[in-house]
Amino acid sequence: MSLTEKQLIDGLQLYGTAMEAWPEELRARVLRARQHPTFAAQIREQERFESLLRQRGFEPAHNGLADRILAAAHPVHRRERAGIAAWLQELLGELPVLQNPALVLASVLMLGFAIGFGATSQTLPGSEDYNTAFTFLEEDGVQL
Amino acid sequence: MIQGERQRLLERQIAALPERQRTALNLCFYEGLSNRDAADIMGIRLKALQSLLMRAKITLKKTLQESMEE
Repeated sequence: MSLTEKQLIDGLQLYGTAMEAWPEELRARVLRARQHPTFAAQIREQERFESLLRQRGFEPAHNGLADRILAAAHPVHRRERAGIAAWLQELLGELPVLQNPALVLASVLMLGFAIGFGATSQTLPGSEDYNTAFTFLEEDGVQL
Repeated sequence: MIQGERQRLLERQIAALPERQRTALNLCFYEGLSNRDAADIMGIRLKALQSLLMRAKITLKKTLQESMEE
Protein backbone atom coordinates (compact mmCIF):
# COMPACT_ATOMS: atom_id res chain seq x y z
CA MET A 1 0.00 0.00 0.00
CA SER A 2 1.42 3.41 -0.91
CA LEU A 3 1.19 6.63 1.06
CA THR A 4 -1.21 9.38 0.10
CA GLU A 5 0.15 12.89 -0.25
CA LYS A 6 -1.55 13.94 2.99
CA GLN A 7 -0.09 10.99 4.87
CA LEU A 8 3.35 11.86 3.57
CA ILE A 9 3.06 15.54 4.47
CA ASP A 10 1.76 14.70 7.95
CA GLY A 11 4.52 12.14 8.37
CA LEU A 12 7.14 14.66 7.30
CA GLN A 13 5.89 17.11 9.93
CA LEU A 14 5.84 14.42 12.60
CA TYR A 15 9.02 12.50 11.90
CA GLY A 16 11.03 14.79 9.62
CA THR A 17 13.07 13.78 6.62
CA ALA A 18 15.47 11.47 8.49
CA MET A 19 14.25 7.95 7.72
CA GLU A 20 15.40 6.54 11.07
CA ALA A 21 12.86 8.72 12.88
CA TRP A 22 9.95 7.16 10.97
CA PRO A 23 8.20 4.06 12.32
CA GLU A 24 9.74 0.95 10.78
CA GLU A 25 6.51 -0.14 9.12
CA LEU A 26 6.37 3.14 7.14
CA ARG A 27 10.00 3.46 6.05
CA ALA A 28 9.81 1.24 2.98
CA ARG A 29 6.71 3.08 1.79
CA VAL A 30 8.37 6.47 2.25
CA LEU A 31 11.43 5.30 0.32
CA ARG A 32 9.16 4.18 -2.49
CA ALA A 33 7.28 7.49 -2.35
CA ARG A 34 10.55 9.37 -2.81
CA GLN A 35 10.64 8.14 -6.39
CA HIS A 36 7.41 9.97 -7.18
CA PRO A 37 8.09 13.54 -8.44
CA THR A 38 5.33 15.16 -6.34
CA PHE A 39 6.45 13.45 -3.16
CA ALA A 40 10.09 14.12 -3.95
CA ALA A 41 9.26 17.82 -4.18
CA GLN A 42 7.48 17.66 -0.81
CA ILE A 43 10.49 15.99 0.75
CA ARG A 44 12.89 18.56 -0.75
CA GLU A 45 10.72 21.37 0.61
CA GLN A 46 10.71 19.77 4.05
CA GLU A 47 14.51 19.36 3.90
CA ARG A 48 14.85 23.08 3.16
CA PHE A 49 12.59 23.89 6.11
CA GLU A 50 14.56 21.63 8.44
CA SER A 51 17.88 23.13 7.36
CA LEU A 52 16.38 26.54 8.13
CA LEU A 53 15.34 25.34 11.60
CA ARG A 54 18.86 24.04 12.22
CA GLN A 55 20.23 27.56 11.77
CA ARG A 56 18.82 28.42 15.15
CA GLY A 57 22.24 28.20 16.79
CA PHE A 58 20.82 25.95 19.47
CA GLU A 59 23.29 25.42 22.33
CA PRO A 60 22.58 22.44 24.56
CA ALA A 61 23.20 22.92 28.29
CA HIS A 62 26.08 21.05 29.88
CA ASN A 63 24.27 19.07 32.55
CA GLY A 64 21.69 16.40 31.90
CA LEU A 65 18.60 16.13 29.84
CA ALA A 66 16.35 18.01 32.29
CA ASP A 67 18.61 21.06 32.20
CA ARG A 68 18.81 20.93 28.43
CA ILE A 69 15.03 20.78 28.17
CA LEU A 70 14.56 23.67 30.59
CA ALA A 71 17.32 25.69 28.95
CA ALA A 72 15.71 25.29 25.55
CA ALA A 73 12.10 25.73 26.56
CA HIS A 74 12.35 28.24 29.41
CA PRO A 75 15.54 30.28 29.10
CA VAL A 76 14.21 32.78 31.66
CA HIS A 77 13.94 30.13 34.41
CA ARG A 78 17.70 29.56 34.40
CA ARG A 79 18.24 33.13 35.52
CA GLU A 80 15.60 32.77 38.21
CA ARG A 81 17.44 29.83 39.73
CA ALA A 82 20.73 31.72 39.97
CA GLY A 83 20.12 32.57 43.66
CA ILE A 84 19.60 35.54 45.90
CA ALA A 85 22.86 37.24 44.89
CA ALA A 86 21.75 37.38 41.27
CA TRP A 87 18.32 38.55 42.36
CA LEU A 88 19.83 41.39 44.43
CA GLN A 89 22.11 42.32 41.57
CA GLU A 90 19.12 42.42 39.24
CA LEU A 91 17.15 44.52 41.75
CA LEU A 92 20.01 47.01 42.10
CA GLY A 93 20.23 47.19 38.35
CA GLU A 94 16.51 47.93 38.12
CA LEU A 95 16.50 50.51 40.96
CA PRO A 96 19.74 52.54 40.86
CA VAL A 97 18.55 54.60 43.86
CA LEU A 98 19.26 51.54 46.06
CA GLN A 99 22.95 51.80 45.16
CA ASN A 100 23.29 54.87 47.46
CA PRO A 101 23.80 53.45 51.02
CA ALA A 102 23.23 56.82 52.75
CA LEU A 103 19.87 57.22 51.05
CA VAL A 104 18.84 53.67 51.93
CA LEU A 105 19.89 54.19 55.60
CA ALA A 106 18.03 57.51 55.82
CA SER A 107 14.91 55.88 54.34
CA VAL A 108 15.06 53.01 56.85
CA LEU A 109 15.48 55.46 59.77
CA MET A 110 12.59 57.63 58.61
CA LEU A 111 10.42 54.55 58.24
CA GLY A 112 11.44 53.46 61.74
CA PHE A 113 10.55 56.85 63.25
CA ALA A 114 7.25 56.93 61.41
CA ILE A 115 6.29 53.50 62.71
CA GLY A 116 7.58 54.33 66.23
CA PHE A 117 5.62 57.58 66.59
CA GLY A 118 2.57 56.29 64.82
CA ALA A 119 2.01 53.25 67.03
CA THR A 120 0.12 53.68 70.34
CA SER A 121 1.96 52.45 73.40
CA GLN A 122 0.73 49.25 75.07
CA THR A 123 2.83 49.71 78.24
CA LEU A 124 1.65 53.08 79.59
CA PRO A 125 -1.92 52.98 80.88
CA GLY A 126 -4.21 55.91 80.21
CA SER A 127 -6.12 57.89 82.93
CA GLU A 128 -9.19 55.63 82.62
CA ASP A 129 -7.04 52.59 83.43
CA TYR A 130 -5.74 54.34 86.58
CA ASN A 131 -9.29 55.12 87.74
CA THR A 132 -10.40 51.53 87.23
CA ALA A 133 -7.42 50.23 89.16
CA PHE A 134 -8.10 52.63 92.09
CA THR A 135 -11.76 51.58 92.19
CA PHE A 136 -10.81 47.92 92.61
CA LEU A 137 -8.21 48.70 95.26
CA GLU A 138 -10.68 50.79 97.26
CA GLU A 139 -13.29 48.01 97.12
CA ASP A 140 -10.70 45.60 98.51
CA GLY A 141 -10.10 47.97 101.38
CA VAL A 142 -6.63 48.94 100.41
CA GLN A 143 -5.72 52.44 101.53
CA LEU A 144 -3.58 54.41 99.17
CA MET B 1 18.62 37.81 4.17
CA ILE B 2 21.93 37.30 5.95
CA GLN B 3 22.60 34.43 8.33
CA GLY B 4 22.43 36.48 11.57
CA GLU B 5 19.13 38.09 10.64
CA ARG B 6 17.69 34.71 9.71
CA GLN B 7 18.74 33.27 13.06
CA ARG B 8 17.18 36.14 14.96
CA LEU B 9 13.98 35.82 12.96
CA LEU B 10 13.87 32.09 13.64
CA GLU B 11 14.51 32.66 17.34
CA ARG B 12 11.68 35.20 17.49
CA GLN B 13 9.25 32.91 15.69
CA ILE B 14 10.09 29.96 17.94
CA ALA B 15 9.74 32.14 21.03
CA ALA B 16 6.32 33.26 19.79
CA LEU B 17 5.01 29.70 19.67
CA PRO B 18 2.74 28.57 22.51
CA GLU B 19 4.82 27.02 25.29
CA ARG B 20 3.72 23.40 24.78
CA GLN B 21 4.30 23.59 21.03
CA ARG B 22 7.75 25.05 21.67
CA THR B 23 8.58 22.31 24.14
CA ALA B 24 7.42 19.62 21.71
CA LEU B 25 9.58 21.14 18.97
CA ASN B 26 12.60 21.38 21.23
CA LEU B 27 12.30 17.81 22.42
CA CYS B 28 11.61 16.20 19.06
CA PHE B 29 13.55 18.33 16.61
CA TYR B 30 16.41 19.89 18.56
CA GLU B 31 16.94 17.16 21.17
CA GLY B 32 16.22 14.37 18.71
CA LEU B 33 13.88 12.46 21.03
CA SER B 34 11.30 10.11 19.58
CA ASN B 35 7.70 11.31 19.63
CA ARG B 36 6.93 8.62 22.23
CA ASP B 37 9.74 9.74 24.59
CA ALA B 38 8.80 13.40 24.19
CA ALA B 39 5.16 12.58 25.00
CA ASP B 40 6.29 10.72 28.14
CA ILE B 41 8.45 13.66 29.28
CA MET B 42 5.64 16.12 28.73
CA GLY B 43 3.13 13.79 30.38
CA ILE B 44 0.74 13.80 27.42
CA ARG B 45 -0.57 11.21 25.00
CA LEU B 46 1.32 10.46 21.80
CA LYS B 47 -1.48 11.87 19.66
CA ALA B 48 -1.45 15.12 21.63
CA LEU B 49 2.32 15.42 21.22
CA GLN B 50 2.03 14.80 17.49
CA SER B 51 -0.65 17.43 17.23
CA LEU B 52 1.52 19.99 19.08
CA LEU B 53 4.51 19.18 16.91
CA MET B 54 2.57 19.46 13.68
CA ARG B 55 1.00 22.76 14.68
CA ALA B 56 4.41 24.13 15.71
CA LYS B 57 6.01 23.20 12.39
CA ILE B 58 3.11 24.40 10.27
CA THR B 59 3.01 27.74 12.11
CA LEU B 60 6.77 28.16 11.83
CA LYS B 61 6.81 27.27 8.16
CA LYS B 62 4.03 29.76 7.43
CA THR B 63 5.42 32.64 9.51
CA LEU B 64 8.98 32.14 8.28
CA GLN B 65 7.84 32.10 4.68
CA GLU B 66 5.81 35.27 5.21
CA SER B 67 8.68 37.04 6.96
CA MET B 68 11.17 36.13 4.25
CA GLU B 69 8.86 37.29 1.50
CA GLU B 70 8.51 40.75 3.10
